[in-house]
Amino acid sequence: MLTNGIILLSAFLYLGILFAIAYYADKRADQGRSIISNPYIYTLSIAVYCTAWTFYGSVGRASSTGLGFLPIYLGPTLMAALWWIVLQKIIRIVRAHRITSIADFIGSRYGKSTLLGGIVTIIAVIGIMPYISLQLKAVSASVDVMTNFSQITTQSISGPDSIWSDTALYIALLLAAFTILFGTRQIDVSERHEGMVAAIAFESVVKLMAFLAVGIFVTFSLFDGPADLFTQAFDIPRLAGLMSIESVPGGYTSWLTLTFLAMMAIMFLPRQFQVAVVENVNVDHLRKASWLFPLYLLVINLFVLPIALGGNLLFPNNQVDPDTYVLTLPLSQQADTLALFVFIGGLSAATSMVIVATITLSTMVCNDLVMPVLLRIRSLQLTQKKDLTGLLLGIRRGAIVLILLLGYTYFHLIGESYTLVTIGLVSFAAAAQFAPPILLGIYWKGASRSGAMAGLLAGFLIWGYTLLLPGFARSGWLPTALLDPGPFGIELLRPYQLFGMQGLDPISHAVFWSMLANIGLMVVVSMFSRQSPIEQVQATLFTKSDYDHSRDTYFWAGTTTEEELKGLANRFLGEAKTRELFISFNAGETERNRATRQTRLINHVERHLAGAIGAASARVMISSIVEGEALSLHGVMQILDETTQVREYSHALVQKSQELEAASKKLQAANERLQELDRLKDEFVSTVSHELRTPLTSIRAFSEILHSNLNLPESEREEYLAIIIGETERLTRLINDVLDLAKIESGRVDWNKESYDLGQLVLDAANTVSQLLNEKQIQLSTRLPEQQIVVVIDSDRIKQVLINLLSNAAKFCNESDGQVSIELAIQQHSARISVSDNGPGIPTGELESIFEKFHQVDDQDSASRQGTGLGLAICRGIVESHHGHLWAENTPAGGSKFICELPCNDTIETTA
Amino acid sequence: MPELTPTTAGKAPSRRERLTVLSIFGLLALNYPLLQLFDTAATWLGIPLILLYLLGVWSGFIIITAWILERGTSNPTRTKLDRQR
Repeated sequence: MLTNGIILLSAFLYLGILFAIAYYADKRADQGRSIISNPYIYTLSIAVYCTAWTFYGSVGRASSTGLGFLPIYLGPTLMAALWWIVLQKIIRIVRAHRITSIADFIGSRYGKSTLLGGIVTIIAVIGIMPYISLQLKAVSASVDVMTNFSQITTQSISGPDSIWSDTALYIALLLAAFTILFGTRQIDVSERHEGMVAAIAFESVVKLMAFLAVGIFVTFSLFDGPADLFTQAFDIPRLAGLMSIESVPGGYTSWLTLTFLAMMAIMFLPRQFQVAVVENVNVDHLRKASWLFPLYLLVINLFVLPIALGGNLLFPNNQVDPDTYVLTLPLSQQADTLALFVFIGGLSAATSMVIVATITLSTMVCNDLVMPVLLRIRSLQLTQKKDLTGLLLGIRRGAIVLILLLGYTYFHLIGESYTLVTIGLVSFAAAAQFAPPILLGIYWKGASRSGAMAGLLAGFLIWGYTLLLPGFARSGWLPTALLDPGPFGIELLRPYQLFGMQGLDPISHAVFWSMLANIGLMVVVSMFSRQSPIEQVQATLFTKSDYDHSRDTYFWAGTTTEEELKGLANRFLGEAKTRELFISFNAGETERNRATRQTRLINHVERHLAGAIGAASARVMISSIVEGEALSLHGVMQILDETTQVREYSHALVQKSQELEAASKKLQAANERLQELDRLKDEFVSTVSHELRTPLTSIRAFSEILHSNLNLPESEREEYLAIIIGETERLTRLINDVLDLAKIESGRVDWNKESYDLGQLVLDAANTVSQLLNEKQIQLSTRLPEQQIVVVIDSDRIKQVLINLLSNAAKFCNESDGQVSIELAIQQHSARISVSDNGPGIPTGELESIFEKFHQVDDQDSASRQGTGLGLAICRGIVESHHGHLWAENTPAGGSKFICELPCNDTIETTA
Repeated sequence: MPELTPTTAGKAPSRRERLTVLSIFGLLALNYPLLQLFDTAATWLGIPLILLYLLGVWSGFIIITAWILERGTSNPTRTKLDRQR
């Protein structure tokens, strides 16, 4: 038999362990070696969702509504899959603005509104009040069951007696003291409560283990496995009926409503927001939490139905409250140790919720309700006080006590007449009111402060009227006439059938009307109201998809001194933190951004102040020391124009990239041309050097022979000297050619142009080479037209071309029976001179390349050749300088033919 | 026409899309009228069919969520959302 002493001792021992864990975690955090920075602790801390409601209430709910307990856990499962999208964004926003609570979030989103933050706080405190009372009720009931179990089984207990109430009050005060010790030791709540999170995670393990233990005990020890349990239960018609959604009050509608409520609650209950968002260490932890948390819910719910059915089977006369089955089942079997473990598990479920919820709410009360008011009361002169950290802590501690006492009052007033889950759902419906301003707020830029305010207030009032008020009426604290026939006898205003809506269970009914009013007013009012500049700025910042917080530097355009900022920070953050803050700021300073230093410093301080006292209060404090315009209109417009700018930018980018593409193509072509030219130049230089070296080498060789052999026979010396002279001539020719070509190519030749008779020129050229041709016994035939062709040319140069072509022809024509012909013909606008031979012709592939510099068709005997390899290149250069063309063809007879075409538009004079 | 960047061209559906679709399917599977199909007195190995269905969908949902989120995360340092501009 468990004595009261043992029960109390274990409870205190357990709380002691919690405290030790928190203390250890805080210490590790101070050393910078966090123990909570991993996805598993994060998941377990989110499991603060499972409170005494889950631990005791689910079984109670299951024994009356069958599967009706499940939507509360299916909703979060569905929502968890969306965390990666929605919660991630919220976490990033919170991180960037150092937001401390859900009230702070909503207030910040809608223009750092103090009023809105305050409203959210009030809604949260009133809305969560039933939830806290639920925990108190559960814990006091569990204490009672543990201490008075023998009486419960022998005599049916009903209605509250004085001992119960005392237990609850006692527990409330104890929890308040514990929470104060626990959560309000440090001031900057944006610095995470590592100790609290560690303790919560530990509690989540304890409650899961305890619940699984009792589940396994009931299923496998009291019964022969689940199949046996279900079979036995189905023999009783009432229990068999539980196995259908139809047994859920409100049926499928209620099922859907509860799923929706749970989906919202897992994100927007203030304590869930605290652990999942504010206490989040690393956004990436969401990845694991998104499926581990639903898994936790699945596991903790596995045995709910078996325990509920087992309780119904073993206590068939309803003498035991189903909400306490988890305790009474082991106790009835004298499994005292298990019962004690389960009691601790229940305690852990309840305390975890109470700790997080009260710390969260007290922060909200302090930052978003009390401080803004105190700061605005000028007579208090708070803005002048030296150190306000003590005041902040005092307010928070007071708020914790107040919140728990409110919970106790609610429990005392109406808690007795409701089951745990019914009480909890009232709170869920209140928390759901936060969903529209947050979700619309982060995705819809147009959501305005007035819209959010109207929606929230309307939703909250309807919630109060349709859920909270009827509770008081039912418990007898208000006249029951309120419910039926309705206030002042007006049927349309009956809280459970508002405007005559029938057929919905009270929760669905309240959720429908409150959400309709909330969302509807929010949207409509937003569309018809104007946003102030700061609202627009915040809206832009919160709805941005790619979150980048460096933008909010625009807020403060006024001036202040660094000393004043330091003083302000000192008062709220304490000296050590302030020093750290300024050091961290200065560390990030560079020369480059000196110009904006002041605005950024003000912003930096504001964000850290926001961490301590909330965004709205921080703004008030900063504006008390910053002189001048709080908002630079230019800055605001810059942010607002951002979207438009981005669009323009992207358009401009497309254009620019197209231009770039075109330019780069041009560049590429130019580059290729340059490379080609470079290659040609290199080739040219190396060829020229090579060509120069060949004659030089032989000149040198023969000179050396002459120099070292003074006794050479006369004939040999003559021969060698002749070679040297020949080579020198060749060298001179080559250099002349190179210079010539360079001149022609660069266009620096002074053309000595005058009218000249082409026929005469051809004859002159033929005469000049006749000697050479005679030597080789080559026949030259000349054909000239009858009329005289006069063109404006540099006759010397053109003659040079013809001589060159003729000697070329002589060089390549048939050795035994050489025939060269030169022909002048007149065409429509040009004169054509062609020189042909009967040689082997030119390979088709080389017809064009022979005009390249140093190109020789027959490279093998280059050593013995006489030409420089530049002749044709020079010829072409000359002809082209006369706007003519020079090219080569192969004649049908087999020889080659060089054709030179010169323009002669108006210069043709016919002879009679 | 500017060319599509590699991040948008021929890419598998993003995590966000998959998760959204999964949630919608989950919401449908766990509500009227699909739920009604299994709301019978039938049992399987002594356990009510409706309970098995709910637990099955629930487990499946968790597994698929895990699959979507954990796949290809051997290098968890950078995700699309983590990237700073």
